Amino acid sequence: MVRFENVTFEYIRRDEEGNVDSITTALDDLSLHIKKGEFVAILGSNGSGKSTLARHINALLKPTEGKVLVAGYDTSNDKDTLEIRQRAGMVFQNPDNQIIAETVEEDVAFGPENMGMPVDEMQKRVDEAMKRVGLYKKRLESPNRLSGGQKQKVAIAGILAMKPECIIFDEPTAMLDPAGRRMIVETAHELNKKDGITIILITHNMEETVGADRIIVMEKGRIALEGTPRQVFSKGDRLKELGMELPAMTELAQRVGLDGCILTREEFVEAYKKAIR
Amino acid sequence: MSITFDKVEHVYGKGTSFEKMALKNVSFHIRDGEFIGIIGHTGSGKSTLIQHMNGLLKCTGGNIYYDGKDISDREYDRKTLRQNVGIVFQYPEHQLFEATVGKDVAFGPGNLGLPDLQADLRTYEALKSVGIDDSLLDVSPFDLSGGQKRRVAIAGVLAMKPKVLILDEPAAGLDPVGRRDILEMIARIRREENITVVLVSHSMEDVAEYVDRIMVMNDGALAMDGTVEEVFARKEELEEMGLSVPQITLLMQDLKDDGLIDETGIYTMDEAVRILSQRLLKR
Repeated sequence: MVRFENVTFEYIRRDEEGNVDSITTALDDLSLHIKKGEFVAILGSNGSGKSTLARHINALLKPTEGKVLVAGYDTSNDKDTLEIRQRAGMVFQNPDNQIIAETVEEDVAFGPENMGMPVDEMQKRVDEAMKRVGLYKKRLESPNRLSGGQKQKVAIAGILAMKPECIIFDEPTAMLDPAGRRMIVETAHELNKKDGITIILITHNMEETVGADRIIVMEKGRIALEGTPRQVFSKGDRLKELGMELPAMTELAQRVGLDGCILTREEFVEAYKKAIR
Repeated sequence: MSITFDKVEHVYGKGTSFEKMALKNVSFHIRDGEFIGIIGHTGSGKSTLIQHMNGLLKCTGGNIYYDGKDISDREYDRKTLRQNVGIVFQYPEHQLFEATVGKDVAFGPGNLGLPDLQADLRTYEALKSVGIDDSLLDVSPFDLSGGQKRRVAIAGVLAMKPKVLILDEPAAGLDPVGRRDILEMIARIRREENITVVLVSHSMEDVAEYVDRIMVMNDGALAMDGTVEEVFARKEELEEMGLSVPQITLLMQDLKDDGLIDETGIYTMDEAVRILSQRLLKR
């Protein structure tokens, strides 16, 4: 679905005369393959290149060197940008910055409308997308009156109406309350399982990555650590070096000396029962 | 500085079709030096509440007192109030604007009409307090990392020497290390400066670990106000409000439900480690 081949990206700053002032390498010879239907979580400290990576997937940024292929399209071909953005949608951190219309329905219809889709087809897709995220009843309401989590769902529905193959979430829960956070992570998992949509979730919250198929930890524009949640979270020392922490259950289990890499509450209770027996 | 809200009410757009009651009959008293956490779902009135705390918004009903003085009195010195009560808004780094770190932090003290030397001293102290090195004084704030920018923005508020420091989600968007550093820094500043701190947060874990007392906002009303123990004992009600209790609390409850431990009301990792290790050692 998504393939990075030796991608390097440099942010170039220029002074007032247009001379190069400084160059920051945000992605450094990075190669990555994300399979169709995979749920990949991306971790990494601030400035490690996570968002730069995400912005390459829907051609908001293009590599300085190397190649990014999305559903077979090369992101550096400008003529394919629309094809790519229909297939790979992006949900950003701040829900308020993503809302543009007066009603939920109009907001969700913004993308398909711009594609020049026939009205009937568009209405069908918009209705389906709103039902999918549970906002159909609120379709005539103003998005501004919704909760943070619901606003993010409006953004997700807008992408779903484009029938995407892949959704990239760039810290979608950073500004949400606990219920909103749960709502968005559950929605991402459901879209992955039921609709087979490839999910790429960027987050600072370790708990949100526990259910992923694969975790990638970034450092200085490179992949520093990669594997299943259990593989990654069993490397506590390395994670700390990378500025990360362990999910609460994993940390507690280690500190009280329970065996194995524990990720969830259920696993913790089981392991604890075994240990005191 | 003590803060008293007495039946405070705030209506946005009164008399228009957009009229919205953002604060309903909110009453509480915060003692000097307390560390308060405010939690609540998005749109529950947290931001409206803190904007009343330094007079950025005027209540449409009720009264607010600082040290027993009504801030809506015509004689009340609201300028001094804003010096005494510093608010660090969400993503405060978006408000950085000066050419250098030093100038940005000195902006507030400069506006107080302090002599340059004194403003410089405050700038220096504030930056030291947030852990920004002197060598960055003449650097553009826009060349700093995200975590550093946020520290500089907080220093700008500290340079006003507030007696009450209010922070709206100071750790939002930071990575785990940055998050911990900022919260530890706030706890240390509170100890050293002996000031009242109000922390607005969506993280139940952070609130459980740092504050003395939690106020819970729900649909504009103050739904709960108590110690960490008192508030997190009301799990069902919190969940109905779109909130939760810390992960650790949920686990300890599961263990208790299975008859594996006797303790209730465990909110932090350290407490849980202490209890469970004892149990595991005994075996």
